Amino acid sequence: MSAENQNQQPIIEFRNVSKSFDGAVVLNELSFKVYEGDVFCIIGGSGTGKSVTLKLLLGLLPIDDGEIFFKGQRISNLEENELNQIRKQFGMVFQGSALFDSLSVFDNIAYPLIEHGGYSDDDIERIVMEKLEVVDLKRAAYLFPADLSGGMKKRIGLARAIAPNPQVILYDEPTAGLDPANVHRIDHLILRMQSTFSVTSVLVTHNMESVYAVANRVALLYDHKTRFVGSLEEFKSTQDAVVQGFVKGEI
Amino acid sequence: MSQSDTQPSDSQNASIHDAVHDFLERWGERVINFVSYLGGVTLLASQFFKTLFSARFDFKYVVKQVYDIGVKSISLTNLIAIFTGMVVALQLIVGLKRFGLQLYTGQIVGIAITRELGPVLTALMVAARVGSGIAAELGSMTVSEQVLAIRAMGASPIAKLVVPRVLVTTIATPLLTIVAIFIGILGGMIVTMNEAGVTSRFYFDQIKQTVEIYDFLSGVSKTVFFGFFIGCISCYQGLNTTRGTQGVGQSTTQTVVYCSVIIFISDFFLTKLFLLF
Repeated sequence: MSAENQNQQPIIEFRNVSKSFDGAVVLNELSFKVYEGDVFCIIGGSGTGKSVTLKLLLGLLPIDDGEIFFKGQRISNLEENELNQIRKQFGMVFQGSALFDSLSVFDNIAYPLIEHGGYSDDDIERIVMEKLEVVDLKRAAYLFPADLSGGMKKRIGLARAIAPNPQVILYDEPTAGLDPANVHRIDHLILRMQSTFSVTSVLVTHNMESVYAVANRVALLYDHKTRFVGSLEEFKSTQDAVVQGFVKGEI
Repeated sequence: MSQSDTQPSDSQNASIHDAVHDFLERWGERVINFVSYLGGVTLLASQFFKTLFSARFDFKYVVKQVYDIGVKSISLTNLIAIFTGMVVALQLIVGLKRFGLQLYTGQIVGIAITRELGPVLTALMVAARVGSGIAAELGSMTVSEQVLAIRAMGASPIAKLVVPRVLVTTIATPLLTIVAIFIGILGGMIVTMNEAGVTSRFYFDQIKQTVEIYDFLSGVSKTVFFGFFIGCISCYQGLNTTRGTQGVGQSTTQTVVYCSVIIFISDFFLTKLFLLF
């Protein structure tokens, strides 16, 4: 479903969310909405709080002020065990992949399935192999993370994130440090998640090529808040000097 | 003499004020950090008990780790134990010879190893070998966001990472201590036989006369607490690691230092407590 229909209820909403670390303001009254089916890109310079935004959304960091909603439910005030139920509806691809070193690729992907429960051993094996096929890494099933290249780790991280069929996938700098071929491959996978599995994606990046390739909506973080939120077309055509400066690499 | 000669000037007052302020600030910060650290470890310990009885954890992992740690650490703890037994016996023989009492070395070796040296030295070795390993492993997982990944998947790092490791140290430390006590006594026997000219039978008879089951239980019981403290401190250090790989090294070192300190401090209080019964 497109996000262009602004009458629809957002699946994710940030309302005036603020966050500081040791007195240093990272986010100040951040507000945006993400709609079902969106590929929503959060962009901004280094240290503008992009990754922090994803962590706040999952409750991995507490917010200082404001509210966060998921499917209309306020989740920013939930206890850890209540948040765990919400988190099971998300998948997250970490910047450094965050694969478990001590587990094989197969076990890494099986991990969320075992945690969520309700899957037989045969189901788990079938799902893991299916997801490995999606990321084209079936051959790596019994390797360990230390045996994988950076691009392969990102793809396995993605396979792990999508294993339990989440409603929303959060990508934290999924193409950072990858060569162009792997960037293209990851972008293709993100689009495939949206087109094939109708997953809502929230993507944090500063790679503008990836933004143009996958996003349908964009938010630019600047000066601790959202400077711009809108469709990709609006983003491309805006006359906002900060947005243009960011795109040209001047900010 | 004028009043201005006897009273400190304004600038002297200001520098005294600054020095006192700096002193209080520095020590105040240390006290706050200490209390905060203690609070953090206590909170982790309470979460351990809460999770132990409410969440599922990998019991097979615990059994495997107890076995692995036991097998990997037993040679180290036994090496320490045998030489401790030998050196204690050697020193005692030197001292007791002055009174012609060297034949009774076994009695003191038995008490010392069973009640004190076996438990404490084994716990120190577990802290150095296992505690540092736990801190390094969890520290690496923390800085590479693997712990965040566990939380992001809706799982509890306490159930997945802390409970099994604290159980492992709590179970493995007493088991290693039991073996270390026997090995330490054997070490003492070797030296006593050679230096004091007693037979092994006489040596063990001396020990049987002196060391009671209570001594053995009191020594081994302390190590249950030592193992628990080692597990909690090393997990806390690991999970609170910051500043990348440098932070991992720092956490590992701090774990060994803090565990050693807490072992010695708690040893006194636990000994005092057990003497009440």
